[in-house]
Amino acid sequence: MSADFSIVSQSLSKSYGPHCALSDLTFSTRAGEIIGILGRNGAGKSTTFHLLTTYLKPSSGAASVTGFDLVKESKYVRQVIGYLPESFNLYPELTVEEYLFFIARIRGLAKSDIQKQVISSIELCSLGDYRRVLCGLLSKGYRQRVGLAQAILHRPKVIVLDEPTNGLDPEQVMEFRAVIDSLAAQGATILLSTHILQEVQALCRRVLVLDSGKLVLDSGGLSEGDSFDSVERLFKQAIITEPGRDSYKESVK
Amino acid sequence: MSVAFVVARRDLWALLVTPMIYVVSSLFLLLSSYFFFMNLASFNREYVRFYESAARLDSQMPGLHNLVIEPYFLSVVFLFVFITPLIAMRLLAEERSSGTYQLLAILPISPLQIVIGKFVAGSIVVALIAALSLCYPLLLLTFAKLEVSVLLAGWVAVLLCGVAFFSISLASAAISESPFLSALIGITVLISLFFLHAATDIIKTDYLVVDKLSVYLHLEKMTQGLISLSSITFFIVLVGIGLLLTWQLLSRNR
Repeated sequence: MSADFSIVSQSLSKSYGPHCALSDLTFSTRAGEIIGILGRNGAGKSTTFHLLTTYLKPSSGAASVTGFDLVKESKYVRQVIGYLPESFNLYPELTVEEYLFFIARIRGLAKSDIQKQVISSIELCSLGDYRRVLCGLLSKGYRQRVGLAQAILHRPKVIVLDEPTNGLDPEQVMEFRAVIDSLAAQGATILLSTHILQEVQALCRRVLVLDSGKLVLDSGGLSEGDSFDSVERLFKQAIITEPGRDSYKESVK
Repeated sequence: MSVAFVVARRDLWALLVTPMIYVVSSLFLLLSSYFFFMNLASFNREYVRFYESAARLDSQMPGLHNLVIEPYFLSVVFLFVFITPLIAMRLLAEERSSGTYQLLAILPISPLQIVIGKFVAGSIVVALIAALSLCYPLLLLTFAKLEVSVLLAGWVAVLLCGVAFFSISLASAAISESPFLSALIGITVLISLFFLHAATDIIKTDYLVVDKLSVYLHLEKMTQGLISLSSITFFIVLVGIGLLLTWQLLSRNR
């Protein structure tokens, strides 16, 4: 697996008993790319993320993150990856700052770096006014920001965000997009799952579409002039060309 | 291992700021005081009966240790059957059901480090609660003659058993994400372990085997001041089994 790629996935599959949640997923990404992962509910987006973050072990296939094998070197993968799950909770008895210090210590950041990294993440996610507020008292939007702050705390090379703008107000969404852009500009690969096509259009320069656990479309790089319609069209085409989707085809037509 | 202690420190803090632990400790103090003073009242009745009967010329009156301290420590351990699954439930099952565990599980920390961290935090709380159980015997010590070494042996038994029970409870909390179910499994397993010695009366099996596996019989010996290597080993093995099971269950879930 080449070191030029931040993620290399080769025939990655995951089954839960007889149910195949993800089948034969093959793709690769480069540093600085922002990739939107689209798909209907149950398409395999979260399973893909769970595999890439080593939360689950693949049933077959192989993948590497910045050259580290998902199974054999999972500890190193966890060190270079940042993950904001779709549903998570924060320790309610810790303040935002205490929580981020806790994560930094578990991530094994050097003592001299911890303070600097925590403050930097707090500033990047606009949490300055909330640093001494208990996590249990935060609104959904601010909890999401803390989730993002913990995901980028160690300046990961790959950032995986599962429906990150859920529950955010429009202003927070815009701030969030700015953070994502700046992280990608610093060389981080960002995988973003969302149901909001406009978000993909605004942020991503490449789209992967999953359906029934299979990768049905890899757009390659979208050009600067692509409109929202082009992402919507890509999504529809990808789903329609998938065999056995007649009823959905009709509804789209 | 330093990562395990980061988890332990956070978990200890989480336990100490939760109202549940203070409610549990208060109930523990209340029930243990009830058991202690019931035992003391029973001792007083025995004392009066003994000196009123002629039997005193031929036999010796059982002491405070036999009639008060020993049954008191056994009843304290019985309270741990209900307390330790609640602590484990708070530390592991609730964390898994609330979604905080999901973020912990994707950090560069192994399931073993998580288990050790939670075990250390829970054991400290168990030790603090066990320390509360000493207040009544110490009160008695101020105006009655007690052997401090026997008292200490009894307390060590309470502590060891409490920690072993917590370890087993942690495994039950790793089985289910439902806090209620995990506590129920823990209590059921611990009650079975505590009353294992009663099985000898029912199944009429090789007594020695059950004797070696009975928590109650090991405890009984230690509260009498008989600290043996086999009893200490027994509790350490229980701790080991609990931790190993928890580790395996958490690893399997990944």
